[in-house]
Amino acid sequence: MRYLRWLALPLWLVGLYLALIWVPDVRSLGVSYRIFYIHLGMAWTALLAMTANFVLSLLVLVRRKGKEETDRFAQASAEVGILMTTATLASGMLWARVAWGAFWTWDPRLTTTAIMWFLYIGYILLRQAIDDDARRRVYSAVYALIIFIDVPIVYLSVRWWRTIHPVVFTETGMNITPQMFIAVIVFFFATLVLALDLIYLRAFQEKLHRELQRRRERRLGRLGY
Amino acid sequence: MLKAAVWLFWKDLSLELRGRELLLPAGVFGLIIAMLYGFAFNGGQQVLRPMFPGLLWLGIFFSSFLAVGRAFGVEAEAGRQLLMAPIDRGSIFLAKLALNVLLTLVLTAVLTPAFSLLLGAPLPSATWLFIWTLILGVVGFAAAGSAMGALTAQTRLRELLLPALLLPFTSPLLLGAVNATGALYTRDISPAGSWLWLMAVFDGIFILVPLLLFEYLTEV
Repeated sequence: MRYLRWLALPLWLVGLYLALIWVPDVRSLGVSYRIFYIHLGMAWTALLAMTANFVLSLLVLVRRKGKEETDRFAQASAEVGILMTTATLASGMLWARVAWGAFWTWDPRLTTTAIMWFLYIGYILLRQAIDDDARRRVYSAVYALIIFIDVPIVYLSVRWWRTIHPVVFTETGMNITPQMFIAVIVFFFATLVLALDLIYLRAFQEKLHRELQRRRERRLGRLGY
Repeated sequence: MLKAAVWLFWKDLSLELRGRELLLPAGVFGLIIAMLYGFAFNGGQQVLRPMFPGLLWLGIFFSSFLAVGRAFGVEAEAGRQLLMAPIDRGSIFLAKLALNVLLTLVLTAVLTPAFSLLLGAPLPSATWLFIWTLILGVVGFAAAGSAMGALTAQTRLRELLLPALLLPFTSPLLLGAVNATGALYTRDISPAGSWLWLMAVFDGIFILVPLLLFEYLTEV
């Protein structure tokens, strides 16, 4: 898994070449739309990371073995998901400034993404506020399940409220050319590989962190504190 | 399960009736919010009336979370005694949920007339639909509040953490409640229907899911 990083870098370079040079301009949007390749890849990866967090949290509650490890990966995928969501929001806002004339609009996807961001920030806040390992594991898993169910409801409600976001995939087919589709897919995989690498890295880091804490406590205990 | 829940509910209710520790501060806070709206949006009922649905629901949500957060806090402060009782764990959640629903309903019953008086918005003519909107909104908030309250009761930051978790979570409910209420003030009230459905779905899901998951919280 540590070699993922070496796969992510060339994939990103290829993706950048495809998105910035290979794909022709779109007449109505000019050059600004090219940020969309990065944006879409990040957005999909963010959703996948949150889904991974949901599945792992379910496993934490249901499975008897490997709770500790599953919990570490659940935490890591939520953190990477937040990172990707932040990047999605940032790139989307930059584009919106050019295309719609304002950094922020109350478009359904934009609003849903922002609320999802807050919900998962809550996940991190909740984890930080609980000291006991076993309790943190279970409480954050329960919270993760509940908010994951909330996200589609948020989306539905905001969608009823208003809608102006460009829809890439409609019921009749794709709104993009095959060339653009290739660039999108390459960028998506590049981002996905990067996210996987980050999740493994973060989960490993967390393992070391917990091990360090355990040893420190044992040491302090031996010294009589 | 139901019998234990009823007894627990009765216990909390008599505690509240004796101490009035939740309703009184939360109700007063709600009224203060109504006054602050007047100052913040520069008085003038002509200005406030179009914004009434949003102002009303923000007032209800903000004052309600003062009340709903406390339900599990009481048990957290008493230690874990309640978990020693030989009862189904789900009944604890049900009892707290029922208490939260009752408290928020009472709060709403007081705040709604007060808000409509102070902000100069007469209550809509479709009275029954309006009452349903209030009930669905408040029950959903109480359900979500009970779930988040149970999650935060044992944490270090309890009161600080709850709004950060609860308010983004209930945003679909707020949208539903505000838009349904807004529709009831227009001539064509039919859009209120789908918003009421949305709120009902939210209520159903977030009563059921936390009820199923609550057992896990009591095991650690």
